[in-house]
Amino acid sequence: MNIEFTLNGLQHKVTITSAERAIDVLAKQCGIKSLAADCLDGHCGKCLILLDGTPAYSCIMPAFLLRDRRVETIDYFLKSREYDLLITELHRYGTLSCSGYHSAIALMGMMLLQKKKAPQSDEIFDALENIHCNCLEPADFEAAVLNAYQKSKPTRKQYESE
Amino acid sequence: MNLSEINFPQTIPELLTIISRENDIQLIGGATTFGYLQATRYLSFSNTIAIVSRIPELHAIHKTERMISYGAACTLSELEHVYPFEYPQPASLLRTIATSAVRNVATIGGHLMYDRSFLSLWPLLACLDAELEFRAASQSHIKNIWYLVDENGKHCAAGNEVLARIRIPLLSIDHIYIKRIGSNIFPGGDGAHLVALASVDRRSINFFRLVLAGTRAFRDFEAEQRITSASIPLSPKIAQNVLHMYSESLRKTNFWNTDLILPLIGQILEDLQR
Repeated sequence: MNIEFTLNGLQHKVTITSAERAIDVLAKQCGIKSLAADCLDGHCGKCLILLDGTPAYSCIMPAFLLRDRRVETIDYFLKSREYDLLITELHRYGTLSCSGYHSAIALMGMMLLQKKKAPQSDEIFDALENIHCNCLEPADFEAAVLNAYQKSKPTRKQYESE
Repeated sequence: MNLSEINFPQTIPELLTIISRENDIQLIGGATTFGYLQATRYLSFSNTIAIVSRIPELHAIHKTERMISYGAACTLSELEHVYPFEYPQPASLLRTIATSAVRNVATIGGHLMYDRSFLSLWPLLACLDAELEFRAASQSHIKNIWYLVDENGKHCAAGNEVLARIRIPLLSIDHIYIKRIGSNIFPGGDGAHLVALASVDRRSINFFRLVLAGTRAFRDFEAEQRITSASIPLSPKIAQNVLHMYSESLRKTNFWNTDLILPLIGQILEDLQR
């Protein structure tokens, strides 16, 4: 059957079967290369996408659940200023040493940077829990995200301190 | 590779029409279980599937003075800030079910109707005497959540009815005890959750409920009645009596490890007195 959904800001129409996982449709039919289907059980996090703005594992999701949804991958954010700030901070804290998880870590970071208020610790650790990377130090990720957030919204910093 | 006909009903009547038409149909909420349990690259479902997660009526959360009700397609994330997950222990229990990437998609209906075992939230909602509203072709039925338990304590299917809403009476709870027992709580494992709730009013126990659920569910209503209206601190005689009742009823089930569980129940009774 045909389904339509928004992927990285663009409307996509794809033909799917009930047997296909979302990650396979995104990779094969939509050309997304930033996702990996390593575990197929929603464990590693390399397949993370944002589904209507919140994280979801595309490897355990049937493709038909993408219908009429808004999907974002890290590719959507690559050209944004916030992305550059985030990557700089992530590198500074050494949180991108594990190459297999770059996309997932950056995507969780970008999700947190979209928040209207500075992300709280529990939100940051909640996001990080979705990624099963043993190299990643949670405190470093938190510091990188908060620094990037502050730098990306200088006027907000001024209001918060008043 | 088994290919299924996929339906996206927009309303409950439309869903019920599809169900009445098809013999072999599977209702899908967040589908988080299928993608996890099926190790093959390609997923397999029944001949016909109906996606319930996009029906607006199944997403609504309503609250009155006495009751809160969730639509069965509410995701676990959507419940994080509503009763009873405003209490710290239930909130913590909700978070332990899975990571947020799963909770954002998994539905409360799918969680409760999972038929291989009773998942984490089931014993909590059973303690709260939650009611399940099922819709059939021309009528709706409201049943206590214990309706899903057969005479052997196992999860039983609800037939051709659709779980529409979960209704929970709003209770004032003074004591919440939630303990995970066993090494592996995920479907297929052998773990269980022990949940106990109590309310104390003027040094007297208003209500006491204790549910144990994993592969099977257990509750001893007589033991609960014995302790209700008892004064705090509990007399040694009442405490011994209640423990004896639980010991007997656990042994009768021939399933639960009484030696493991009885000390926990003893701990719960002690905690009540603090």
